[in-house]
Amino acid sequence: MMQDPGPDDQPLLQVEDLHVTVNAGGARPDAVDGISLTVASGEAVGLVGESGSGKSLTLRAILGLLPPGASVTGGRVLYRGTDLIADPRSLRRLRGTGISMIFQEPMTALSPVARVGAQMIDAARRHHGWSPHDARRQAIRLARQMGIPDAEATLSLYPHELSGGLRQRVMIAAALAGEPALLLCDEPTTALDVTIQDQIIKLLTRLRDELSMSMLYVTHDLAVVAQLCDRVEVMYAGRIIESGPVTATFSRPVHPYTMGLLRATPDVDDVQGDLYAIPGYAPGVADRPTGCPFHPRCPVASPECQSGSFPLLEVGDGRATACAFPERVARLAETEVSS
Amino acid sequence: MAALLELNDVSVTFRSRRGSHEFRAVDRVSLAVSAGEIVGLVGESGSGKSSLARFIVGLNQASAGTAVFDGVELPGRTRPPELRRRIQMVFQDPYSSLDPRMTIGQQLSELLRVRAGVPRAQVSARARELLEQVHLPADLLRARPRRMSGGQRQRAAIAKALSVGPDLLVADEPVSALDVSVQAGIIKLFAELRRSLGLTVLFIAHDLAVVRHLCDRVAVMYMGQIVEQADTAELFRNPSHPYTQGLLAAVPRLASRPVRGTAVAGEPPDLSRLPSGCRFRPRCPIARSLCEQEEPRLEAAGDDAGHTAACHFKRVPVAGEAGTPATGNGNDPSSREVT
Ligand SMILES: Nc1ncnc2c1ncn2[C@@H]1O[C@H](COP(=O)(O)OP(=O)(O)OP(=O)(O)O)[C@@H](O)[C@H]1O
Ligand SMILES: Nc1ncnc2c1ncn2[C@@H]1O[C@H](COP(=O)(O)OP(=O)(O)OP(=O)(O)O)[C@@H](O)[C@H]1O
Ligand code: SF4
Ligand code: SF4
Ligand SMILES: [Mg+2]
Ligand SMILES: [Mg+2]
Repeated sequence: MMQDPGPDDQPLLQVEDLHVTVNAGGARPDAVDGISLTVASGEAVGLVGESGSGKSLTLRAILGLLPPGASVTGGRVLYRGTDLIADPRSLRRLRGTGISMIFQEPMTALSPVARVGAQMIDAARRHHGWSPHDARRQAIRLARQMGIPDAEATLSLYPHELSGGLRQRVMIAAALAGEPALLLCDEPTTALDVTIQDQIIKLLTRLRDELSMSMLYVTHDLAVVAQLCDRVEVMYAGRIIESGPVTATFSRPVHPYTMGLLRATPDVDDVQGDLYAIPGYAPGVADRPTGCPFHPRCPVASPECQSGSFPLLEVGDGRATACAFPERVARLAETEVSS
Repeated sequence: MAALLELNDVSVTFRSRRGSHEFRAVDRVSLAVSAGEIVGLVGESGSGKSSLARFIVGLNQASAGTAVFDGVELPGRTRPPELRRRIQMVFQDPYSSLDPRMTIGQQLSELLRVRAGVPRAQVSARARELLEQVHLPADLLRARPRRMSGGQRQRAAIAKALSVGPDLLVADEPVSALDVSVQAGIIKLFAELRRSLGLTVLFIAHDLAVVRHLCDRVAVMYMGQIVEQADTAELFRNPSHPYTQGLLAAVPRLASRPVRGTAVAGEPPDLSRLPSGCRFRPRCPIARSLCEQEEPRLEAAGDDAGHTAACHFKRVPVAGEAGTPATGNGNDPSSREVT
């Protein structure tokens, strides 16, 4: 029996063996296939992986906001020790004030018919019971904090009257108005220009410090994780296949998939070495391979990789890999990328 | 060598959504693309990249300027089929050039017979050859786009563009929607097609790292104009325009390296309300009063042939000190006044 940890050393968020199934042509495959991860207080964790790997479903399952057709079929989501899946009422109470979420497309989170000022502080206003006057003052303060120029004028506009970058700032403001302890981010900068992305990343970095907020940040861009996060979880085909501190993971990955992703990412400062294209394509939910799900694309796969189970195993220094043959990764690291 | 494509002061004008006024999405752009060259076109959203691309392939008309293709001036309105065949376009969303109802084989065969004039007996062999050229398995001839992955679809769209034997391929963000693991393969494909077929490519991207890896030369667009142009190595070593410097500084990096310069602040202003003088002035960290009075023109930046920038205070590398922050045009940077 594990000892119950005190409230202080308990992680803020603890996801244990989460399963999410989806409808796929009559079948019900596990799009999220047994994910476990933790976010400590004040920590920023990146969740990366290819399109369809299950990043958004994982994030949405945490907040109980799964799309129709998707449902949680197993596992626990503990927030400060309370299981949010077993206790949806406490989850509703937490939304916006304990946990908030920002999305790639702010228009999905913002109402098109309400002025952005009102939307920005809606959750916080109900939570704190602010008067309209206080609410407006808070909204202006928050807008300035988000770097929204002309805050007073901007707050009386409608979402469609704002640029993509400003909408994203408004959405972040709305998410942070209730001063959540945990911010879930689903590719909030993917649709933006690098210039605006850079501004949003710097904004999130600053807010994280100021509000000592934790983040779980979904993206497919490893460089964004390098800028923002302390730890990274790499997903492939519904599972986490590598986990560890960002710097160590990106300089010495312990899973061939992570290494492939790193070698496929072009470097803006350097053109040494050829770009590596991971052979083949990521499998769809309905046709994920048996054994190690990466084996059809893995450059160092062997027949043993085609069946059996490949759990995420710790390899020391806070790192873990689902590759059963980490020594092969080390060998791979010594080979040059060939075209 | 004579250029395959030469644009002289080309403008593309649109009427604003509310119809009240006209604005130039492309504003007096001059650009030469030599045969066998891959030229990158980068810039923020709305800078006019697609508008320029669509003009080159004949989907937009120019309101001013001329374009010469292989020694022949491109006609303003309808283009003869032979010219249309020789300039092909690939889009970010491959669906826009694939027919969802037909198999890839049917789509290629039709193009080969009708547009490329391939004799019936040779059509199927040629279709196979095309799939091979873009590294798709031959059994995909019988597949419809729906069943294919994003990367496969983009390869199929490229095969369609190649089927009519073009001289110039205009690729508008062909890798922007792809996962990084797949993107690398498409980047290599362009490089390979240039090598094997002598194809000339205008490659539009917003990812500077991708452009650095693929292109021979790069043009940077800002609000309808080319503000800097140079050979790729030179541009990344000695970015001269403050906008180029700011774009480069905004790119997130995998490794924590010192980044020169400050990222671009703010957002591009409305095209219909251009600032006086230099259009980058409202966001420029080194703007001075001259910038308000006079519009800078593209002029030689440093000794590297073909390196031009449109800035009164462009940074010009002094011989032998490539890569170090240099002084602008002999002007003393300490005497900068910010307007
Ligand atoms: N509501 C749904 N019904 C059926 N299948 C779904 C649903 N939502 C997601 N899926 C499937 O589950 C898998 C994982 O989806 P998810 O959106 O979590 O991927 P992701 O990692 O966020 O990808 P992306 O990078 O493209 O956003 C995908 O194959 C997707 O098609
Ligand atoms: N057919 C059109 N009618 C009116 N305005 C247009 C039209 N096409 C483009 N525009 C406008 O012209 C400007 C330049 O757009 P364009 O699509 O060329 O930019 P871009 O550089 O390709 O941007 P992105 O990176 O977002 O693709 C934008 O303000 C756009 O709204
Ligand atoms: S378990 Fe086998 S297939 Fe999977 S990553 Fe390791 S070596 Fe490759
Ligand atoms: S001309 Fe002036 S405002 Fe324009 S980029 Fe150069 S320094 Fe900046
Ligand atoms: Mg997603
Ligand atoms: Mg475009």
